[in-house]
Amino acid sequence: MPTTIKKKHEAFVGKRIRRKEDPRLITGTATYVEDIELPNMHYASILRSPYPAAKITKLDLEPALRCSGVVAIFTGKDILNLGPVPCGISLPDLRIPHHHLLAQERVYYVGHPIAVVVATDKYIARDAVDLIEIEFEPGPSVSDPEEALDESATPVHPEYKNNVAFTHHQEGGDVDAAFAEADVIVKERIVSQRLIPSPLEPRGTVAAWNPGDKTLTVYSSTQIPHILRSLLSSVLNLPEHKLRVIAPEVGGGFGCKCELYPEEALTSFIAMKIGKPVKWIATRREDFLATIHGRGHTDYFELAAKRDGTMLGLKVKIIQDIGAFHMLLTPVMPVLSVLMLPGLYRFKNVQADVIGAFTNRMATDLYRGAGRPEATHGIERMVEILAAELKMDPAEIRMKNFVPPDDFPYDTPTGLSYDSGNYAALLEKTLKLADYDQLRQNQKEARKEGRLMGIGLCTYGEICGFGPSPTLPTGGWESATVKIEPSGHVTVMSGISSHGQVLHK
Amino acid sequence: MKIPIQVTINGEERNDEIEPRLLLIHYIRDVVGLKGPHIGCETSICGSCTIELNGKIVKSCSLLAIQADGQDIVTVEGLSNGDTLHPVQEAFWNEHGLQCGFCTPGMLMTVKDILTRNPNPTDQEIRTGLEGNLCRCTGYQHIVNAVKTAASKMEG
Repeated sequence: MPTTIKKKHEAFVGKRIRRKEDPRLITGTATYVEDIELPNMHYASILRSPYPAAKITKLDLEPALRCSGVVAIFTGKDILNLGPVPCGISLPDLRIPHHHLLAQERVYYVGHPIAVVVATDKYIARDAVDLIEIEFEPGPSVSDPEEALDESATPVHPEYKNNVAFTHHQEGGDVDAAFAEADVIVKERIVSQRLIPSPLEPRGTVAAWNPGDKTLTVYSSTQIPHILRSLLSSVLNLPEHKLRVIAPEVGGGFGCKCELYPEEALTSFIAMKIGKPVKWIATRREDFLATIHGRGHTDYFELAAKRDGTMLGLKVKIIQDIGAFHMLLTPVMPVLSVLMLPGLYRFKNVQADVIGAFTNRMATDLYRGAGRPEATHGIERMVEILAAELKMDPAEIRMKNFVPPDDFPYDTPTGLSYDSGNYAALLEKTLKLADYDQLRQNQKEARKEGRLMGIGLCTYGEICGFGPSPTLPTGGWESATVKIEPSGHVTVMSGISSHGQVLHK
Repeated sequence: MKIPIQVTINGEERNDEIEPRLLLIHYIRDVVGLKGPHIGCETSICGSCTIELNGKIVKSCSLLAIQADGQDIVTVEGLSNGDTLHPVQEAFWNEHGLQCGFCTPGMLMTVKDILTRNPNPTDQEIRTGLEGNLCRCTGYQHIVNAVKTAASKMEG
């Protein structure tokens, strides 16, 4: 007979809630990847390129192999049967250079992995890296994306005639008409600089092979354990049901741990090869050199407007610094930026041209917003510049151009549909809370005294929740397993992986 | 060649044989097996490896283990008294003074030291005291709040 138990629900909104994971984090009893110990653990250390572009002319492993405790050394020729580091994006005319797990005869960026030493002790592994005898013939390199696109630049990849990784054009409305109609056109070069994500915990991986049932367990400091399992399966040629990926406690990600990195595949491959568990933990220096970088946008903006401040249209050229190779989602970053270019404003004419530029540097990829803050940075700077040009208040010019509440659902010229919003009300409330008029008054007085006081405004609408969608290769569906145990307790397994966000456990 | 080392760590005396070049953080983590202190930078910048050595906080990534010979070490594992958390730990939990938690073991040791030297610090004194410990997640405000909460708890 069914029974209904009515239980009073506790209200959580507005309440102080203590996190469930904190007791282990504040007592030093949490397990991050470097804390994992397995019997007979072996340690990997990696020889990396000190040059941005060079031919390897000599590679002698013998002195390192003679070092007591060194078990094996793997180089480019050992990994030819393994899949490349995957790029999950397809765009028309996208050049995807083959991204080997280890450098072949050439290196393409400082930090490019060349050889992996495996030893019984991590100090010995590091020592042995220094004992490898290697010589290079350095060649010309290019690190600036605009220089890379110059006709005279040496191609990063000799198989291509220039450094164009891809181009992407998108437009909506009639930009030429908008610019012809304009009273004023403001232009600016806006850079969202390349940066290093730097979670406090560097990347690291432990891989353990069970030769009996031929299964591999990989512990990695990753934000995407499920996707990593699918990708590793294809790189290693190991069926997914033989592969388990565990994200232990993860010490921050900021987007840079949303990849399949060469080291994750290499430790896995080596664990299978030598039949021993293998641990690799990046040093901070390695994390700077060989973990993806963020942003890398150099953008040329042109904004057309009427004298009364009405924005009419936007032309943008985005130069995306790709680095030497694509990582998982590298080329899609600037494409996402384009979608968000109109911001919260109702002008209907946008034209954007994206050029991805190969450079002799580590790849760029997902970092805190992944292409979206770059777009906001651009459009919001342009609104400020326009306001200054027209001597209008930056808040007033925004109010004038916001999509009004009655226009929703609103179709943007970049193909998005905004379902709802009341941007003017939100900005009004913000200005009131900040006492904006008073701040402007303070600013005037400060300037009279020769002091500079700045007031910054930024509005922001972000595309998020990309899945589920037919445009995603895997559908992007979230899933959970809910299990009712014999005791009556319920166990829920969700696909979300935490790296500091108060999500679970 | 290995050399003997004797330390007291979180109240327990130990005798081990170590390589002279072994770093103190590796001794604590790999030989003693205490995984609380973390390695974030290996250059004494980030402070994740901060421990107490003879009552003073140090960055254990930048000392040799042998430099701790004959001395008294306290790590984050030694902060609580059984199931009773140290007020600093309790305050970090209550005030959301952490997110990913990687910097926290070092952060807690530094905060305990700040409050030992100055039981009632100002915001500026707290921030100055935390200069040697980097946190990438919180933006520090909740850490400062936690220090203040801990200070009032420890005073009262």
